[in-house]
Amino acid sequence: MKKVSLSVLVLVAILLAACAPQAVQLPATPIEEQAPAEPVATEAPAEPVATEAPAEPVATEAPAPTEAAAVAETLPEIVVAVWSGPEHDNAVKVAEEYTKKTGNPVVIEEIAREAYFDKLTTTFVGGGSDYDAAYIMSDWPPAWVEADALYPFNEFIEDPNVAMPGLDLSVFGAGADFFTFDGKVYAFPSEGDTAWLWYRQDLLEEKGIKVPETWDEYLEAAKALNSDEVYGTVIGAKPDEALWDFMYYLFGMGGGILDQDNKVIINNEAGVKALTFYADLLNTHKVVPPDVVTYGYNEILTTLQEGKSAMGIQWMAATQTLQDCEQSPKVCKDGKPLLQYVIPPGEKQTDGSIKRTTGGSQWGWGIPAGAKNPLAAYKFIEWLTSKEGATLWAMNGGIPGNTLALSDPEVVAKIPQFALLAEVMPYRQIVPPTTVTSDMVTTINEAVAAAVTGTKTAQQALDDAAAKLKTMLEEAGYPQG
Amino acid sequence: MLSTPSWRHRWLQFKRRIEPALFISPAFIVIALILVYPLAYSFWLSFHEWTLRGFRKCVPFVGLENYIELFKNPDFVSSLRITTTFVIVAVGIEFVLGMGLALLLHHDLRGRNFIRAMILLPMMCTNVVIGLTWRLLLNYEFGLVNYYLGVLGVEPLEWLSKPAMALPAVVLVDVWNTTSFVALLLLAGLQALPEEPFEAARIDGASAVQSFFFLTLPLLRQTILVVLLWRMIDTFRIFDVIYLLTAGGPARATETVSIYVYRYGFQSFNLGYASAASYIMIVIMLIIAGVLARSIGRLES
Repeated sequence: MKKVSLSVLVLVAILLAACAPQAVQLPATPIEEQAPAEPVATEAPAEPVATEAPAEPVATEAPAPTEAAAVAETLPEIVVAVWSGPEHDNAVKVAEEYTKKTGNPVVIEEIAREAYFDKLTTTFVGGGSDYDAAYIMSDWPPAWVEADALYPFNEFIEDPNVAMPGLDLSVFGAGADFFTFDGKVYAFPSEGDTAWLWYRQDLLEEKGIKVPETWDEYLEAAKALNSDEVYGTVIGAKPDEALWDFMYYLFGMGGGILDQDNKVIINNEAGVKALTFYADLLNTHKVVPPDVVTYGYNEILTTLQEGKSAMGIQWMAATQTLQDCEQSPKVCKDGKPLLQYVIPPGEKQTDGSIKRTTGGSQWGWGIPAGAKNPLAAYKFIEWLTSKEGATLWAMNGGIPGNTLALSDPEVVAKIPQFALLAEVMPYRQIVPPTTVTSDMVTTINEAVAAAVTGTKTAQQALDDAAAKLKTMLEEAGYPQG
Repeated sequence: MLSTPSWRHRWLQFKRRIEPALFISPAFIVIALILVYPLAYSFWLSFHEWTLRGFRKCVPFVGLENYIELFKNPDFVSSLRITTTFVIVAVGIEFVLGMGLALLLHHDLRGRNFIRAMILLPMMCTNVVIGLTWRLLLNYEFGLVNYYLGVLGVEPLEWLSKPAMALPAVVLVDVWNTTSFVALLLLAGLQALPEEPFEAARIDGASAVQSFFFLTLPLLRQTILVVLLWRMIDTFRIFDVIYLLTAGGPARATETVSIYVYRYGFQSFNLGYASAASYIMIVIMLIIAGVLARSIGRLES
């Protein structure tokens, strides 16, 4: 009897604790005005005057006498989260300069890459005040915004006593759009990057092969260069990173993840062709290391550095490492790097021209809703993404989101790959930011790994992934029709 | 006047009764906060739909839906199968090797103390270090294991990249890591066994094998059950080593229930679903623990 009463009590408690008035949860409405997700997205070129839909400089009329007075004084210390790697090292150097210049203290906290998203999400969503600002990827804010976990910048941008004189968000190009939802700006962009096709100039010259411009040429070159000592090329199909490598093949062959109406298109003809091509590099042509399903950014980097691969598509963040003869001595000769880079291959059109589309990612600096010192955090971010801060960021090895810094002749002279980046920007695509993007990435990672390990055909893997994507997008309020 | 002793008596009685409770209350409060509350909350969550994008608006009650969905999901069923295979194979090998080592160390052996110290070394490493080190050792291209296989004329193996090889590789690392622990517990058990039955068996002409099967094993049964109980629970919930070695791949070939829960809980932030998966895991562990604990209890009585 006692047991029965207890069970009834527990059941009643569970039922009462549920939100009875809203018994059925409506799917989250997708945030309007979010970044376009069409397969062939055209971003603003990296020029000072962006040509398409830049986030308008917000009107600066009738400022409220907010915390403005505090700005002139020394601001409190802020803690900024950055993931480990070159971005963290760069942030430490740039923050030191900021403190020297303004007297405002900044602590850069390093978080391991593997745990970065989890750590930020749990802290931000839980309303934690551990961080005042963070380095964030464009995939993450949509879900965070819906969970009220990010602090909008508008109150600062709209206050002339706080905002930097002449603040103009159009200098961020389309990068700002990825962090603007319902007219609210949640981050200032930085590190709008892409990947290059890396090739061993000496090996190509030795075999008389020209630098591949199309995917067919890329495959032929990989076959010709493949030997017992060197693999023709290298890919990275690690379970949690596969999409970040495969995207260059997917977008490069005209495929996409979602169309402009956020409908799933990953399993269309171009998508299947791209995944078949990608998996065949291992399973049919055997021109990549046999264990590429354990490869991600680091492993591709090591393979190229060790001279084990004649080609490979690798993020531009690796340029400094791959072209530095002290860091990569095995791929240097007479103090000159043997590895050179170009824009990844494209699709040859019937008229003989080559259509280029490529991938990339977009990062920015945001403020969590629970931040203790949002104003101080904003001022740091504003400076860091200004022409001055962004130039310093670039000179220390980063990629500036500010087009004024990106196209600065002095910066381009020192970092020539920025000229190439400016060329790529108009046709660069990124993973569409939706409220379920992190789940989408996991699903596509699985599909890529399944095709590469041969457990599914490319068609099966992408059909299964598409079915899952459709369900999760429908549930999140993106009708799939 | 008469009421005073009675009041004092009652107070002393009350004090005697309340004092132990007060002494243990700090520990109880801490346990309640860090163990009971999260357990109860995750149990509650397992009947609700908690997602990152929806939890601010509502966390609706969905009854057994999460549990039903889990058993309909082939990936979860596959992770249960992989976990079960991993537990049976890894614990089985660890037990056989651990018993062998314990028997070896039980005898007067030259350099016994040195060997004992050496086999305990893996236990002193943290799981993160073990995972990262073995990932490097088993690397196809640059790993030492394949290098030495090459020296012996054996073709390099795709330890972590072939679905068929990845689970055995993970088992290998777990065996390397915990066999010494099994051996240590069994050795303690062996050293506590009475000498007389073995002397009597020797006098009766029993061989070493007969002594092992008819004396050592039955007398050691209680220790064996404790070792199996401990290892099975520990292996069932393994996460860090596998995550660092393979992250559950390739193609989910090493995705155990813990990794499945992590993916849904901390990558997708579908906490209701992940909590339900955790509770299924807890129930399985409770069944294993219950069966083994009952056997231990029966032996004791």
